[in-house]
Amino acid sequence: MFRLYRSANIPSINKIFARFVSSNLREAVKYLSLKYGVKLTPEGVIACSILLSVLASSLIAVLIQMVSANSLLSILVSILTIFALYTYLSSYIINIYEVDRLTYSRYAYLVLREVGITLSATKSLHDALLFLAQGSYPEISHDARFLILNIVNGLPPQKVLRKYAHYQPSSTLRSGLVLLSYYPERSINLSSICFKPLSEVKEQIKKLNSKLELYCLIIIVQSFLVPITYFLTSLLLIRQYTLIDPSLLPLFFVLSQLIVLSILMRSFISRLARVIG
Amino acid sequence: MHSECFNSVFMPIFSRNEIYFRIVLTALTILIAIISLLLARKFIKKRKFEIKYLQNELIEVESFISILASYLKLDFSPEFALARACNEYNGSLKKKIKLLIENQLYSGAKASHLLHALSTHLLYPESKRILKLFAKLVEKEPKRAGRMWDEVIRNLREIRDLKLELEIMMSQMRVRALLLAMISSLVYALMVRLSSIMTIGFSLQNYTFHSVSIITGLSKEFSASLFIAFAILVLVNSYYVSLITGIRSSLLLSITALTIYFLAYILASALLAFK
Repeated sequence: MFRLYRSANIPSINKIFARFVSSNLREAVKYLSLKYGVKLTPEGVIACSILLSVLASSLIAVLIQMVSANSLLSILVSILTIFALYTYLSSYIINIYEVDRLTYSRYAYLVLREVGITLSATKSLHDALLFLAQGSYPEISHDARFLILNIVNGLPPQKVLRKYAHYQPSSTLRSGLVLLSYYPERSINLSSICFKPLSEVKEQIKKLNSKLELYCLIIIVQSFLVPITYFLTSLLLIRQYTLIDPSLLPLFFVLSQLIVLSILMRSFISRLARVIG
Repeated sequence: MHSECFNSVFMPIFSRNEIYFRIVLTALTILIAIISLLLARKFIKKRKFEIKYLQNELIEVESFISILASYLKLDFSPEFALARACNEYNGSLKKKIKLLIENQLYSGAKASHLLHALSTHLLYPESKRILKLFAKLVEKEPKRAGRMWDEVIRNLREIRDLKLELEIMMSQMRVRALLLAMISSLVYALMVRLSSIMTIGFSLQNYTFHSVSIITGLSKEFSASLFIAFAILVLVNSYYVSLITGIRSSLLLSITALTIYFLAYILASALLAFK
């Protein structure tokens, strides 16, 4: 998928697509480019989404024209395809970023506290990161292993940690790691960064999980409602109008569902990220 | 063309009204469900045993380190403290400790090296890393390690408990979301199968179509495309559910949901036996 986005990066037309770039997409692209080491640009993502959706919709329009020779229907379907594909492709990158942000945020407090404890005990950032790398935190332990590799290769631990913190999607972890990276040089009150009451953290996590469950439920319930509504309206429509070929009606379900799900997903995840920081 | 293909694949199965076929298909589905339940039960039992064993190992490591830390607090040398701790400790790790530490200690090995060597022979990653951390502390400042170990271990235990609780909450949520996704694919399959009844029902009330031939034609075409559309919806839904709950193997979940959808469709067809 990243290759696809990268291939659409044409510098000469980037200025045109720059207007459609949101700050969220810019942040997501920056994070993913650093994390996966791919050269992505937000303009490239937008260009790829637009070009692919236009290409696919025109292909579908031609196919419908060939099968049913109904111009109005082919226009309708191609417009829906453009919307569905564009929403899906442009939110794909943001979704990955937000899901990672959610994972980091969920473990942020535990990681900060663990690093704080090991740092105060060993007084070595390298040892603290090694301890973190041996832990089983999703994403974070893997990242810590990568940081250790950089330190072993000769980079100063403080610099490595600051650079890592710089592209952290979770703001809590970002600010905490930056402060911890100064620990041996400056005297920092570790307890002020890491020692939040456990009951408060537990409450926050519980709230987050119940919200996630609710969102899953909404996704599934709405995916029942959309097809049922379409199904019933289509039965009534077929009787009166010959505009829509009944065999193509389910295509409308899928396209509308893609749009609804992409929009729902985007709003859900950004709300969650706002809750946990 | 597309619906003909679909019909040629599925209709020969569905049009058979023989009772034995329906019984065999239903029994087969129930058998698959029972086998998968039994496998899941066996897996859970094995995992429970493993977790219990590993947790026990961690408790033993912590108690061994506590004994060692109490001697270090008294300002003994790390090697002497280790020898005393080995004598005093009587837990389930005694054999390993005797084999790895006691024998080598008297041949002049350093305490931190021996602790490190012991950590490589443990099974639970958490106990391994705690022992490694303590070995590092002993190497740097043994007395300080003894003094602050109680506080470090208390804090680490708190973090571990909270992490475990968080993981349990997450897995519970994932199971619920997975169940929801699977049930939704089942309901989708039933809805697609029942859609033909609905179209016929509308026609019988003289509500929708002009003639019976049009109805059956439309119904078949409609069902075929509806079947494909819902299959895509099952894929998309399970993908988004896996994304929001943080399940990494979203492709596997999507394929499982799709398989359930297919099986439920075939089963519903066999039970209802529509021509």
